[in-house]
Amino acid sequence: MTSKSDRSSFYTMGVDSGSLTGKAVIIDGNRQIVSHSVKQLGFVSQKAVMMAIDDALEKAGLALEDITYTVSTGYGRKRLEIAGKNLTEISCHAKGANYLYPEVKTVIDIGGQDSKVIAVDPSGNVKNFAMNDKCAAGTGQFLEVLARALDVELTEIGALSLQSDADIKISSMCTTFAESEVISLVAEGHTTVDILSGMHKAISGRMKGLVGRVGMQQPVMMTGGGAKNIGLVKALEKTLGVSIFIPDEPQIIGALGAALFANDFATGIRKKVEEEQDLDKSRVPAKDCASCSVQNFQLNKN
Amino acid sequence: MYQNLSSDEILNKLAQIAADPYERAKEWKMETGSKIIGCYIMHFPEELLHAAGVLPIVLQVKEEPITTGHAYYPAYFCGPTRSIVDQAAKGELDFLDGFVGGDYCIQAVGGAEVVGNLLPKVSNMFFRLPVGNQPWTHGDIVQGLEELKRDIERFADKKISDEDILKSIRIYNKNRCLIREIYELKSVHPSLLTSSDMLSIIKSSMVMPKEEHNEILESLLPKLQSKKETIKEEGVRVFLSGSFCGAPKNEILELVEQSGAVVVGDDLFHGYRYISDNIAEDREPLEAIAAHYIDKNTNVPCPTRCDPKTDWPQYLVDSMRKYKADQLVIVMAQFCEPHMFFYPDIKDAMQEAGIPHLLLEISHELDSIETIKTRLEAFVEMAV
Repeated sequence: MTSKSDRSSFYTMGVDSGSLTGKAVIIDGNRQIVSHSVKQLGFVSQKAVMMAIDDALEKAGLALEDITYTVSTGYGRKRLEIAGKNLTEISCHAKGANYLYPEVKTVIDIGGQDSKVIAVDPSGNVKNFAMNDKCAAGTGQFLEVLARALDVELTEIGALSLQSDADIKISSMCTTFAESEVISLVAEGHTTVDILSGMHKAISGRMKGLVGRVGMQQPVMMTGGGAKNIGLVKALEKTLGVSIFIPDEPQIIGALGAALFANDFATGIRKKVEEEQDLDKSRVPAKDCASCSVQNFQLNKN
Repeated sequence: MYQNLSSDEILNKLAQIAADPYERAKEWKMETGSKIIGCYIMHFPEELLHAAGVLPIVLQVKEEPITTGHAYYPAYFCGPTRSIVDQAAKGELDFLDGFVGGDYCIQAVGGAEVVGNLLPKVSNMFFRLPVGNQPWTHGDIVQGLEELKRDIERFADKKISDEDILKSIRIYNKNRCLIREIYELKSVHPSLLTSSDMLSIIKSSMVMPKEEHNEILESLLPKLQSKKETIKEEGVRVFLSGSFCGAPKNEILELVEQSGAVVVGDDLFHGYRYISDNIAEDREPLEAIAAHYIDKNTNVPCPTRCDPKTDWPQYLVDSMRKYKADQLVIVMAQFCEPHMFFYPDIKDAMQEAGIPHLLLEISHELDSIETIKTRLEAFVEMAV
């Protein structure tokens, strides 16, 4: 299989080593998305990150040596040796969100381990942000624990919760105490769908406080794995009183932003730190990709 | 003794003293057979205690988790007061001969009461420092100082003369001058010293004889002077504010610099707030000390002093401009009521002045360091 490496262009990669998932996005020199991948294996799993990178490269028909510059983000951002630079997921989500939706002013990111509200300027820079700073309450991990307590697949909880018209209140936002509270509600005979609905309302209430710290300006976009939960999105829209834009692949926005930053560094829009050394890092020996197939991917920008 | 050491070696020595903050005082007690007085946080006339021939030390927050102290002071009070209660409950303050509490905030008053009860063999005293800045405030502070002087004389079994106090004031003024010189150097060459270095310098000053500390600083200063030209300056310029009684955690200070920032100034208690102003040497000593409490609050406003003539938020805006700082990082001890009362005004002032700021509310039982790191890095990235 021939490499898709076109010398008239170049490729940069963004890698988001999140607390629960690894994500990789490759863009070309025209800043168009070439491929992306999301893999989940465990907490800040390096294996998941490498799998996501390999998968994204394979989909793009590229080898690692074809990547001019790589930027890493997420919890494990400092552990990725191939990255020339690492940036926080806050900067990267803002950049990625702005790319997909240039008018966006507020980004709500509910990830595996934390949640963030980011005020974004028209250039995709962070104007202000707030982040949950005490525990994992109201994050992906919180939802996973409660889904397990209710014996429901994580992917099903969003749609299931929309079937409820009850008003169950879950008062505790501590993951451990909320799990006990959910078990009590089950014991009292409440249905799973009603409890799920109550859970989403509780998270929305908490997010409203975080949004208030930054000051909400519309349009609002939601990113991170939490945005794939339609029940949570609807609850949040109701609590905030706004319509929220959800990208097709909300989990890759951080990696997309990182890939865009990598493009900035590669083209000299942004200055690389310790330039030579960093470039050397991204030129690690190519892995075998003899069986690559090319899959161009373009996110729906509507 | 310190003249042959390099600046790094001297700073390491100070860091060691700061890391184990009561050890040097205990050695001093063995060497001299004299008494040690522990001052609870935060404004104490150390000069007056020193004039009685005793060693005043400022009690320090320990970063270890609070255990025994839970039985005596609630978990929803600030870390600095709880940590000192915990140390007293564990018997770690039994080496003290005297203890002075104060009435700076409601948690400090209660904490001083509890510590006093937990140390029955230690002479328990109190420094009443009236708040405000009214025509009668100065006279009230003098009265508080006279009451403390009376108690200290009884404790030390020694009459304290004006000459004794003046002699101590001179030693303490010298210490403040030397540290301010270091601050001046750092404001021009911020990478010369890390914020952890500055913390070690101030914290060690609080827990060892000032004469000895002065000697160390006199050796350190020329070495820093000669080193300054070799330092490469880069990074986002940050001003640090808050933590006005307990020392901020070293781990947090290090994160600020690891995030790509350099600290160009601060108003921390374990920082510029402690040494901002000298005591006049040409006035009656107690009157001079009383005036110092009013004046130093004008230099670096303290929210516990309730001085209507000072404006902490405006002071911060002015400091940002003075030090050409790009960003403000606020380190707030969790449950610190005086700080929490002021924060909304600080937030408004920063927004109005267009100065980005980051609030880090730090609990004694440290929150996720990873989250704090991400927030600090994202904040610094905003300025790049």
